[in-house]
Amino acid sequence: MEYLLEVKDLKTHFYTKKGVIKAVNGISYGLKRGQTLSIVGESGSGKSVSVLSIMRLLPTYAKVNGKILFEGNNLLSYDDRKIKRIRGNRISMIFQDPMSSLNPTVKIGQQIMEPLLWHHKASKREARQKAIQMLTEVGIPSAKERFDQYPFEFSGGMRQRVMIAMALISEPELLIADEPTTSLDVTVQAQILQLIRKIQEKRGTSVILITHNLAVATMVSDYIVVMYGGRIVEKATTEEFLKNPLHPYTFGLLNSTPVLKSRKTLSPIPGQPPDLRELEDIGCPFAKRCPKKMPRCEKENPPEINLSNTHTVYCWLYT
Amino acid sequence: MAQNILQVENVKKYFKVGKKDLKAVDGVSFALEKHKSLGIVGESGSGKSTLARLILGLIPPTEGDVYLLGKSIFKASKNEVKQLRREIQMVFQNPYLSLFPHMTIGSNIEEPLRLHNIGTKKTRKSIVLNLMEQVGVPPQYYNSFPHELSGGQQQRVAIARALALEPQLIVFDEPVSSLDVSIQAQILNLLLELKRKTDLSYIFIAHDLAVVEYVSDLIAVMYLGVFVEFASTEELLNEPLHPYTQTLLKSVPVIGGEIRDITISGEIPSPINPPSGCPFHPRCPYKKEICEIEKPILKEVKPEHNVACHLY
Repeated sequence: MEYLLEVKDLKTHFYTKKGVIKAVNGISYGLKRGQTLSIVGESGSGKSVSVLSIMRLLPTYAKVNGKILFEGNNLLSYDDRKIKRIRGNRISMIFQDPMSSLNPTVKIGQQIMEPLLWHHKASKREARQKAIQMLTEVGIPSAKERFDQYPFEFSGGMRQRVMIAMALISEPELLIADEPTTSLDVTVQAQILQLIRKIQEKRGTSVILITHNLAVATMVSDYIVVMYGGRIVEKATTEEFLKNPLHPYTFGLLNSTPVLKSRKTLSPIPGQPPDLRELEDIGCPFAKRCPKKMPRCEKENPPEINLSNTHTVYCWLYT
Repeated sequence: MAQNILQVENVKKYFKVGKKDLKAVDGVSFALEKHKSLGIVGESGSGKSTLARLILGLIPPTEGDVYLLGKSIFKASKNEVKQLRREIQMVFQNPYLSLFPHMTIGSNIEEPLRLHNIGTKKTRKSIVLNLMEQVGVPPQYYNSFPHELSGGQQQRVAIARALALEPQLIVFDEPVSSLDVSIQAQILNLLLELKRKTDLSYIFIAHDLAVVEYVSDLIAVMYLGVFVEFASTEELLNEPLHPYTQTLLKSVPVIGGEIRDITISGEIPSPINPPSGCPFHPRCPYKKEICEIEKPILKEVKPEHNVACHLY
């Protein structure tokens, strides 16, 4: 079993009063054990919805199709009871805003112990010990005293460390981090990224990182998936991605990102990100903004071009 | 002082929190020449937005003064203030919150012209359409409402409104941080173009150093209410002197880069309980005894390079 997680032709559509929103429209990727995969994209690209589909954290009007294979088992075929045994236990998640994902009225320690107690993995006493140990591991000084404090007594960076401790206490195989450093200051961001990597090396956890920041993605991950308008436009190992980016959208992202001390002139992507309600099923989602658009781009779905076992681009330019 | 468009003299702003003072801005002085752009970087809680509001005269300082075109904005008469207001405008982070939601794009941009009784209804419309063209908003949006536009378009409208009175100085407070990177690049290029084509000066406040570098001639690094370093963009990036600036440079994510070991730990302290001496000393790897006692002052250590640090 090579992959810990394999996502196959995942489609997540929301059935709303205003019509069907095809937030994720047929994406596939695989994540190997112990590796980090980043999903990069702008707002509305479907990157967050794609991982919420894995965690089954979607409203009832969302329909999910395709396959999500976790150690070979299709999570989409699991009932509620079965998925609850996986969630927060073998797959954990951390979110962008640690303040709104912590319960403000419950002590930090209680919240960190919860996954262990909920899944009956430890007694209260063991859980307490482990929680204090976790707090220390994620770099919170005087963990014993902090255990009995409330979220508001922690700074933003410290709260994100608490979230990480909570996500990792049940020793999950997979950690999903959705923009974990976006609301943090840059010096704190660097500390948190360092922490995630250190823990990953120590425990062998696989990580999916959702980010809009291309630089962060290239710095921490083994594999990069670029999403646009609900679809994957390019996926590659970080090395291949840096050496040979191919999709015009990937180029657009690279050329729009200011690089310190580079003195490069930014070439923005013209136009606006797509409105998901207006996306067509047929054709490349990026065609409207693409500087290299050809007539067929709007009429036919882009082909899957494999440049290597690990590098795939969906674009007519490379046929 | 004649060629200085803006002169800030030892401004301080303390807010009362219970019985304590929150020292949001704790003594900042600088001058900005005409047609220059100044970037101010700092993390949350560094006081950069409060400084912006002081410069604009939106809040009175606890101490110090701000001179726009040689005139104190806090001591000027009401009439003088109104005149000065024409010369300085601002653009905020969230364009949707800063535009009037019940007014069309056209009226939003027209509003400052109306308030200052400039032109007739007809001439104002042509000025507005001109401004829309200048910032790249298609004229068919003239009668649209802000919610019908995307975030990037809304920010262009906010910029057009700031340009309406042909001010000499615009303060941008995190104008691109809520925008996607492809749209962010469009707005940054728009700023550069405006500066090239007009004799606009601006102050650009942001937390992203790479963004600030792209649009600024000079950069000031703020930490706990003070400038810890102030230099030309090139100087500051190539030879950062303050340990905080050095850390900031190391922390900026770089495409294809490595996660570097950050030599400092922890986070910016609360401005209600600031550390004694140098505000950075609890996190500084080069801390000396004097740093805990005496607050370093910003001084010129090289031409056009100022730093507030006991190491120099």
